[in-house]
Amino acid sequence: MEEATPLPDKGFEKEILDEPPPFLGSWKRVYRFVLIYLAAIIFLAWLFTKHYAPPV
Amino acid sequence: MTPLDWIVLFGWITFLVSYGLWRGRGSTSVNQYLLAGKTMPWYAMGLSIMATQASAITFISTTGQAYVDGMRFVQFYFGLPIAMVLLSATAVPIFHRAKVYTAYEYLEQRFDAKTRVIVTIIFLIGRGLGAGVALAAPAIVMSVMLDWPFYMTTIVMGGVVILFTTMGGIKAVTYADVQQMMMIMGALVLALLIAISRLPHDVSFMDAIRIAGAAGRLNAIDTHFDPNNRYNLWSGLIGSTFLMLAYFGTDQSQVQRYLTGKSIGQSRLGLLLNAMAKVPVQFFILFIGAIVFVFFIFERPPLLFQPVEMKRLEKTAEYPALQARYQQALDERQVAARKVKDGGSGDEFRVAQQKINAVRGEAAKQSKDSDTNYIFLSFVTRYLPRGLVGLILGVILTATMSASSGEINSLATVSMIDVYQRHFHKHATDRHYLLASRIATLFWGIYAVTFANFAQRLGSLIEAVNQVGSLFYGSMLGVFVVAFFMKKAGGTAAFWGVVVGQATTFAVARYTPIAYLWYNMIGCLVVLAVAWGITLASRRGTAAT
Repeated sequence: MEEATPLPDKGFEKEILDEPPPFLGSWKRVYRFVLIYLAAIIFLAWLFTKHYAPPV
Repeated sequence: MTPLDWIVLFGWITFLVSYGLWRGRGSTSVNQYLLAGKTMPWYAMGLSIMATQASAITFISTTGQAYVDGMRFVQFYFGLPIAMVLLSATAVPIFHRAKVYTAYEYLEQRFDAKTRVIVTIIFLIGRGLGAGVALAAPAIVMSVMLDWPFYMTTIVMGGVVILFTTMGGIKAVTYADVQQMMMIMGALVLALLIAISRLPHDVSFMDAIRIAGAAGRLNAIDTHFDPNNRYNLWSGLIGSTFLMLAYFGTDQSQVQRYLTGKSIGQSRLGLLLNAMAKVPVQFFILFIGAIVFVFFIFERPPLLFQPVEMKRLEKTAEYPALQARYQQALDERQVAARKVKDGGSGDEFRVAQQKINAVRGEAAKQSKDSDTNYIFLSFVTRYLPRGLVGLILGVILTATMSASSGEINSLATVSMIDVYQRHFHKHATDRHYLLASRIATLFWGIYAVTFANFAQRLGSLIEAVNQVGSLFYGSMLGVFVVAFFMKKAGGTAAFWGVVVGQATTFAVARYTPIAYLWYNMIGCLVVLAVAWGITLASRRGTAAT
């Protein structure tokens, strides 16, 4: 098969920016924050389940 | 439905479509039409991604599921934040820097044309089936609730989707999704508040939670590992992570959303907004289902929520006996619920609930339609004030449109970029490709409406067709993982990896009882193993010669 030809388009001419996040300083810290947040939510949901579970 | 409800329903749909078209105006190039000229802010992307996943069935079925089975479905979403983090760190910068319109275009840059072709075919089959079903499943429910013929429901819903997706492109779809998502949350909060306010005076909100807990409806976490059990903590954290990675990393309907971002950072923020909001939102929707369950302890629910099936049942000889047993069990459950409220153990409650389940099971035996899907809508139409009924039904209708427009838009993009432009017409003007994109959108819109009418006749097979979608994701994810992380793997290794991975997933689905969430992980790992084996063998062969 032949090589693909890119579409004639102005949109891709601009540079792709990779700026730092608006908070926490680096993306690694933001990712860590999201994962800790998930762990906290799961823990709270587990407490919620345990607290209101019907007696076995 | 009162005249006010109809006015609100059509008013909401008209507003949403007009707003989407207004925001999507000026999409005069392929880049603007398919990628919004890469100008989208993170919040619009994030909300649009959430709205695309939140089809009408999410609201109808999820609340019903909590009513009958509790909140354990929330665990299905635990893999989503993990997947969002992994994709933000890997796929987002790679796709942006590759300057592609579709994820599959990148595969040709990285491997070869045959790998792009096979993955494009897998996407078009899987998503093509999904587009029809996404329209058909809620249309079945809405046609019953609105008392419209099924074909008319799909034509109205599909027609609006086709109109604004064809005219406005992804910008119209994204901005309409933002409004849609905000209205959905507002409507659900109102529904919950009304359910709570209509509880008996001696039953407080905390009492309602205690009763829901005693009834086993607040079972959000199940730590017991069982590969045949669809929803537990482990299938959520492991199986769902693979599914979400595949869905957001390889399905063009999602990839296209974050390719519209102004920058890599904006796309990442859009995905991370989804990561942080999705689990609480799903928890909230399921919680509404649990509270509606308590509401119907004190407000007598019908034997069947599906109105047509209920009318059919009333004409049968068994109905009087079933209804008498049902009423007695409801009385017993209500008495038992008050005991739970006052500190009782809940044993009596569970016995009464079992009796109710048994009677409802007998009543639904002849039914072709899942009664679960009608529980929330029955609550909405019977107990919500005028105007709000029309608004919630309107929001559910536009949720379907939101999910369908995203799918149709992505199918059109892949058809235009990966099929038409790549294989049939390589050197045309931007205007030509813009027209081709609009025609492809129109084609997939008409296809979705037609297939939805056909899918309705498949009846219970719709659920099967929905699960078929998950058969394809594992191998698609696998090939992208090979592309990102196995630097020495070439096109042949990737291609055969996909073929063997797909065959293995089909075999697992056909011959084992393993729950479908695990298919994605199995398919992905097989692709990786085969690609690694072929790469290793070819390197040894090269070294030997």
